[in-house]
Amino acid sequence: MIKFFEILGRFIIKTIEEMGQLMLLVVNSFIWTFRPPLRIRAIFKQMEFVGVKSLFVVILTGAFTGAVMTIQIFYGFSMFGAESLVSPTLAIAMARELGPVLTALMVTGRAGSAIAAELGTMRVTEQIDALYVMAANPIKFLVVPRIIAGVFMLPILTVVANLMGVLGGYLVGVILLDINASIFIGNIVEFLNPSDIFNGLIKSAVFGFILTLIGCYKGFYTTGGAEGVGRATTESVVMASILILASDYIMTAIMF
Amino acid sequence: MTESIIQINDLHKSFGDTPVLRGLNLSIEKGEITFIIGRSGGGKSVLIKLIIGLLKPDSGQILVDGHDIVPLGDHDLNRVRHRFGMLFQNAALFDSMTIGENIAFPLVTHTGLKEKEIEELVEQKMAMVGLEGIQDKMPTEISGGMRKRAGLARAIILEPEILLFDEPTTGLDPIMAEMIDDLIVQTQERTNVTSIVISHDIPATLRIAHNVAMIYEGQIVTYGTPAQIQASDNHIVQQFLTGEGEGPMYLGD
Ligand SMILES: Nc1ncnc2c1ncn2[C@@H]1O[C@H](COP(=O)(O)OP(=O)(O)OP(=O)(O)O)[C@@H](O)[C@H]1O
Ligand SMILES: [Mg+2]
Repeated sequence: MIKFFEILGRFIIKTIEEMGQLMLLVVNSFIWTFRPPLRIRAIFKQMEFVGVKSLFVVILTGAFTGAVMTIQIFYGFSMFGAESLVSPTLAIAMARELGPVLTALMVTGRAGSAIAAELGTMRVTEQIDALYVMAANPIKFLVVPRIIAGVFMLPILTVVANLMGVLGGYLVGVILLDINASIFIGNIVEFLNPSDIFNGLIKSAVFGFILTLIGCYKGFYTTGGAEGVGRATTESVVMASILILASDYIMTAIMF
Repeated sequence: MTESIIQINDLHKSFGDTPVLRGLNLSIEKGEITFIIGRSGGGKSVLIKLIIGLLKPDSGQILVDGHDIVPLGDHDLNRVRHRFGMLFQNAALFDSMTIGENIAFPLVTHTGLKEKEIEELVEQKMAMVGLEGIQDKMPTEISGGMRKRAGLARAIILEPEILLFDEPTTGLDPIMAEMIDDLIVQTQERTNVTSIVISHDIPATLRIAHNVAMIYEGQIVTYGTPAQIQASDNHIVQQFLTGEGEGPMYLGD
């Protein structure tokens, strides 16, 4: 019994410590974002890494999700003859939830983990110490460009995922399931609210912040050599994914 | 005659329950080369990281020109760090940058020099450490010895007042090691820089050091000129200099 409380206590202390460290990183990143000079070149490099290089997996994710959702929605709606509402339902689901969340989860797996591995390696090979020694703040040089890239690129990727979702849905719905093409498109235009898209993009910007922040955080505080880098990478994916899903619920409850 | 540029008073540092430094006192003389020797895991790297503010001690003072750097925040610490250059044990080159970009990094970050001027300075320093023509290689594409020399070029490019070397010659072939040792001496003679060198190379230590300090059990057990060190009747020092397995210094922990 005492052992149980000991373990519980240690867990709570560790969690609080971690939260404190994370908050400190957030505050410092915020401060360093607004301290000139802005490192434009580094930001573009990270935008390419987080954004452009994730394009392919986001296209695939969007298209397949749209296609499979169309089949599932069609199955349900055709039971009471509402085939014409399949496409707006798909579009709204993509814009509000599936586009932002699935994009964020895919980019977490691809770029968030890579960020943790890269910064973790820099930590254990003393490259981060070297930055400090050369009076170059690692937060400014490493963390800020990545977070900025995440916040700006995730909404763009989400737009791509949404479009691909609708395209995938169109191919399945119109060609395989025989939904009338003009009804498919027309009902999306009629029922999809711009605010659905906009709120989804706000979400995705928050997700972009979370996944780059957690990647940086886990990498930055890596200890214990190559093994530690592996651990940081895994932990960053788990932690970022959980935070993305939890914050999605909170934002959805507030927004819609 | 000499004045100390760094004065360390009663420095303590533990990691968890393991004490590494236990009341270490040391003064580093300005414009001289001070070697720090001692066994592996004895806290030499920790000491050098404390001196440059990468780690904070549990207690004690580190005076640089009489000013304690221990309580300093990042901003003030950075001003002090401009006076230092450091070569890490594994060079710590940025592996996302080419060798040329690595060496240019301090110039790009802290000076307003034009690209052309930076290029010239980089080339000049690379020639100095015998690394011509590999500007565009990545750190992973060159050997450990070359990485160390590149790290050295990066450390001296801003012509700092104090240079910290963490095992500059470990893992190099004898010729390369001697070349680095000579570079340390030349840099000191040419610019009157203060150097702190961690080394396991006893012959080189005795050859080029002005002062030698030996760390044992978290304290400096001996300090003096190479001649004084060699004449020391401290058993631990003698055992370390001759590299014998038996003696008061235990091998296991
Ligand atoms: N960041 C750290 N966290 C925990 N323990 C550390 C840390 N840095 C060093 N240590 C411990 O402090 C002790 C001294 O390490 P240090 O690297 O200073 O040794 P060293 O004298 O440089 O050895 P070597 O000659 O092998 O480089 C070691 O036992 C090491 O495990
Ligand atoms: Mg060491």
